[in-house]
Amino acid sequence: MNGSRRRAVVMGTSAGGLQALRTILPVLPQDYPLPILVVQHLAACAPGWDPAWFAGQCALSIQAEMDKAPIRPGRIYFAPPDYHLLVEPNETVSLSIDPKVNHSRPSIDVLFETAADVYREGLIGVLLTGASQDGTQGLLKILHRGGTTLVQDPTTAEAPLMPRFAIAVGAATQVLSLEAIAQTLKEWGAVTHE
Amino acid sequence: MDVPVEIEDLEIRLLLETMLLRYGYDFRQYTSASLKRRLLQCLTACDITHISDAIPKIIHDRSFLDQLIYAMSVTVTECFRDPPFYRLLRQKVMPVLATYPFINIWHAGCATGEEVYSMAILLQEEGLYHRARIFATDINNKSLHQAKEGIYTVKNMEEYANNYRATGGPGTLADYYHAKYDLARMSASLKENMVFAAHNLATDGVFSETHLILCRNVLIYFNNDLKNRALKLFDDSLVPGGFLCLGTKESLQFTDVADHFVPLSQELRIYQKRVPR
Amino acid sequence: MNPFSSLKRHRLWRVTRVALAVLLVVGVIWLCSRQTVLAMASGVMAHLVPLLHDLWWLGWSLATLAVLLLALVGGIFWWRTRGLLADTGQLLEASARLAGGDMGSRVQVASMTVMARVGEMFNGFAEGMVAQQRIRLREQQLREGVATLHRHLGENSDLVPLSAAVISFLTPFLDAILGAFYGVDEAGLLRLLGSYAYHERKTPGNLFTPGEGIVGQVLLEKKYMLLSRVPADYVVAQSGLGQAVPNTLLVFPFLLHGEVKAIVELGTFTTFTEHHLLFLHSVAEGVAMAVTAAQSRAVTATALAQLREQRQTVETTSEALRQSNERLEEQKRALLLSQAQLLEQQEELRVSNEELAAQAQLLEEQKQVADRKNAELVAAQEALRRTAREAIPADPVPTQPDPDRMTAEPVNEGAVARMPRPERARAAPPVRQSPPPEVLPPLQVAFPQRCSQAKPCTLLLVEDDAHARAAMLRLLQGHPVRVVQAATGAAALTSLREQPFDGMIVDLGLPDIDGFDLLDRMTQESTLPRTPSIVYSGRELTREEYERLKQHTNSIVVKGVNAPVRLLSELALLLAQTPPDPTPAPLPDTAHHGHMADLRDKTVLLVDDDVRNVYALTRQLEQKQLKVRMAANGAKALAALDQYPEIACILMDMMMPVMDGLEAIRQLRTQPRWATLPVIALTAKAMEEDRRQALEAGANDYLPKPVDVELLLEKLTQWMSP
Repeated sequence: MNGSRRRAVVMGTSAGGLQALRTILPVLPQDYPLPILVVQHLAACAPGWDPAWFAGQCALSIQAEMDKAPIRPGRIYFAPPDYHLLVEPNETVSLSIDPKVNHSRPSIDVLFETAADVYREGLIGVLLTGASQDGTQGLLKILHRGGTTLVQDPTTAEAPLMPRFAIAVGAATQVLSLEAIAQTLKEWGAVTHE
Repeated sequence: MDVPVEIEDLEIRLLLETMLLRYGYDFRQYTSASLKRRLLQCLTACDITHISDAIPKIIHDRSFLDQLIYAMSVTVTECFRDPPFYRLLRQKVMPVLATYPFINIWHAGCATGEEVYSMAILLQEEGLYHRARIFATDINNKSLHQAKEGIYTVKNMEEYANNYRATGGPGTLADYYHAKYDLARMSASLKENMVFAAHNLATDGVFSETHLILCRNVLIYFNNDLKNRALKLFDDSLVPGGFLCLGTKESLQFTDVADHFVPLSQELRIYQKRVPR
Repeated sequence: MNPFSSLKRHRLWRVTRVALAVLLVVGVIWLCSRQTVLAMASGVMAHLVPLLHDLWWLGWSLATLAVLLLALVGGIFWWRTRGLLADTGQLLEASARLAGGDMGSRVQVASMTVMARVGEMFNGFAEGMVAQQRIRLREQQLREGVATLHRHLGENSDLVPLSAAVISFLTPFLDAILGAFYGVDEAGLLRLLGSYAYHERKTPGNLFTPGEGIVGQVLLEKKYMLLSRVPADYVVAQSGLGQAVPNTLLVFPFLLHGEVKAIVELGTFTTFTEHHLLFLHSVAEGVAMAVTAAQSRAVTATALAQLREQRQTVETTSEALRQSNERLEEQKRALLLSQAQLLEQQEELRVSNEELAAQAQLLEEQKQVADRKNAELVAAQEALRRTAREAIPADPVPTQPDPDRMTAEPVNEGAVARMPRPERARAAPPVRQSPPPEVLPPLQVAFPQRCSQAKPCTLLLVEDDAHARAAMLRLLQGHPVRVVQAATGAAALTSLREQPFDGMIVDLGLPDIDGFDLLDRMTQESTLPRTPSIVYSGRELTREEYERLKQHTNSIVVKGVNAPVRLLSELALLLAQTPPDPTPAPLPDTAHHGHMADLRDKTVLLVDDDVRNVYALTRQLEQKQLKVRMAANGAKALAALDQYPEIACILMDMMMPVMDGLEAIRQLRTQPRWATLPVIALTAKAMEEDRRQALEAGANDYLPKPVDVELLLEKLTQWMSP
């Protein structure tokens, strides 16, 4: 794959996702050239979920005001609790309170599918630990639009169901451990940068 | 799935133009990602494979248009959504509204009306409802009809009861509805001063002077141009010192009217209109 | 037409008759012609005569015998047949009558044929039917009786009319000549509640204890009693026919849950049958229930009346209390007023004291500076003296004046309020016990450029309460306004005549004229310049009051915790408006100026509940010399049309409470007198469909909101020109 065409990373996770994100996000350097959009299921909205933690630990900056914010490189966009996060064709994010998808709002599929339509082959979809079926449809759409998908190795996941499901339907380009995903994202970013 | 994005987008554009030219409904300035998702969902449910196949159907079948508009604009809501917001309304906004002899409230995009009834309950508890009037508007006639009926499921009402308690209400939510089987009908006394009307923020104008406007989680569906248009309507309608309430993820930042308002609570998105110089 | 009459002409009957008649005629003819025949025969055959004669005689005899036999048989047959037929006819006719409803239809069978048996059977059958029908009739009467009685029970809720209704119905219904109805009261005594044709009774009084008399016994035993021999003087029935003693008496108890609730006593000349008893049994519970209900209602009513009486007493007392309270309150108010005046005087004293103190301090400071300078001078001289060789002059220490103190204090004379300095206001904030509802921080109120400390805007404060005035002054201090106070409406008018004001604040409750009248008078007095005003009301307003005030001002503040803050923003808003032009603006010279004459003095009905819209449109239309009537919703619009026939055009808003515009247009179009009245719909909605709806409802034209006045005038001209 031609690295220079990579344009954005979307990430989805559910149960156990907080730890997984803490492993990946702080690894990425300050001049990381891709924007990262993250959906973390509501279960993680329970005490302990605090985007501010990432602000302290990550080199990347966290977008605060989400509604119609332009998507900029090297920035992390967290879906706010109880809102779907979508990517608009003009490369801004939008929010919606549409009904839940896969019993979830925010839903990983909603982010992945809308991002796939915009970034197509330039999109990297990352599906991490979780105990849901959310994300699989989104990964398939990313593949269909020519993008790349990374799925966490179920044996390393706190909750293996979500990655296992995606792998079972063939939605994973690569199956990797958390550390390997972090490293891959970092390398691809570096390639893009050149 | 086989249709390239470009073709899909073209089809959607044609469909929206059709709706506008044929019936005057303008959805062109809605955020396209969620609109597209909703459209595709609705068309799949109607067994329509290509978006453009819906165009002749729209032109010749008004009921199909209504169905489509319902799918494209219905939003989910709940009574006393975001309790801290209602608590602040109760504590800070209501005492100011009390200084107006009569109070006009505009609930723009009221959807199925849960929040309209919440507002009426709040006003009743603060002793202001008898001199208040709530204009509840929505583009969606079907949701508006549901709002007017004021019938919700008992199961939902029981969930909303927690919200109500969290706003610091003196009674219980059950005081305001009559349950029969698994349905709850909101008390008639709450409906007394409500005016329900179809209103399109994309095309229609201001209809009344107001003191409080609630437009929560509607602007997230609008692009910046439409958002600015709606905010201008609100600005025109509000009296100086009047209040504008947006959804917790919506903001006046970077909008045309940003400097016409001061935040009463940045976190809960309650803004007060400045006194112009 | 009797269906059986044809049977009389039955074939058998007819043939028999004809045969007999023929036989008779043949016989007679034959007898008459015998001589002629004999003569002829003797003439022709003389020889044969004897033989023939013998033969003839034999033949004739035989023939005669046969004829006679035949006649006999025929006669008997006829006679028998006639009886049978008559019986059959009678039977059939009786059956027909029975079927037609004549229950008395019977057969009398005289003949001794088999028909006699049939007739008897028929009569038996008819008797049976009559008996059956009597039973049915009785049952029906019973049912109807029960229904009628229950209707009486339901119609009367009070005990006495209920009893009267029951007894007036029962007595005639049960074929009795007299009746009495007793209820069992709460003490367990029987009380006569109603009677029918009762004249007198042996036992005096209308109250019976259990066991006393026949009714008392029934009460005790809870079973009915039937007396066939009534003592002659026991009761007497009185009717139009005179007085009579009944010979049978029935006393029947009405039980509910095993308890006697009422008793009926009935007397008759004949006798009471089981049907009568059956009827009473079937209604017993209903009557008992009705009586019990009526009794408990009576008890409740008595209790309520007592309660009312007590409440009245309490009210009288509390009214007296309230009056004395009011007097106390008045005294308190007077006291407060003088206290306030005292406070004000104190305040003034304190101010001048402070000024004195400040001046003293200033003097003191100056003295200190002088002293310091002196000391420095002394020191310098000392130093000069010490270091005689080097002459170094000491720099004088500049005095650092307190910037606050340097601020020019706005000193106003006469009626102008003394404006205390801002820092003192901070030291003594307005005494306001803030209840839980929070006071919002004041909006960043920016007063307009034209009001500055150097050239403050003038404001007239019309308020009778000294406290409120003082509070308002505190609120306004630090802002670039000069306040003139007026405690009465008259004083306010005087001030207004003396000088122009940039704005005024009017309290609604004034001692002489109320705020409404003051504003009305200001408008009427044409020489007064228009002064924009803020109305300050201590109470909520009615819609009518609100609409009245709206004609003068758009800023109305209801007193409350947040009122001062709002008042400030209203004031800033009011002062920011361009000062009113004393001369009315000339009509713009537009293309339709020529048509304007058509509109002059015509009346337009503006139906809209939007304050702002009404305010603005009315003013602009009035400038064009149109008369404007207003209505806040569709229902009021229809009422206004009734009241003001001069209305020549309606401007109808679509979105209104109570009755919206579409509905109002539809309704007024149903009346022929308004069928052609021009209606222009005003709406915030822009879609083709909304426009179509308005026109379909019966509007003549359509204007989008916000209204373009030029366009409106054009449309008005178009629709109102003859």
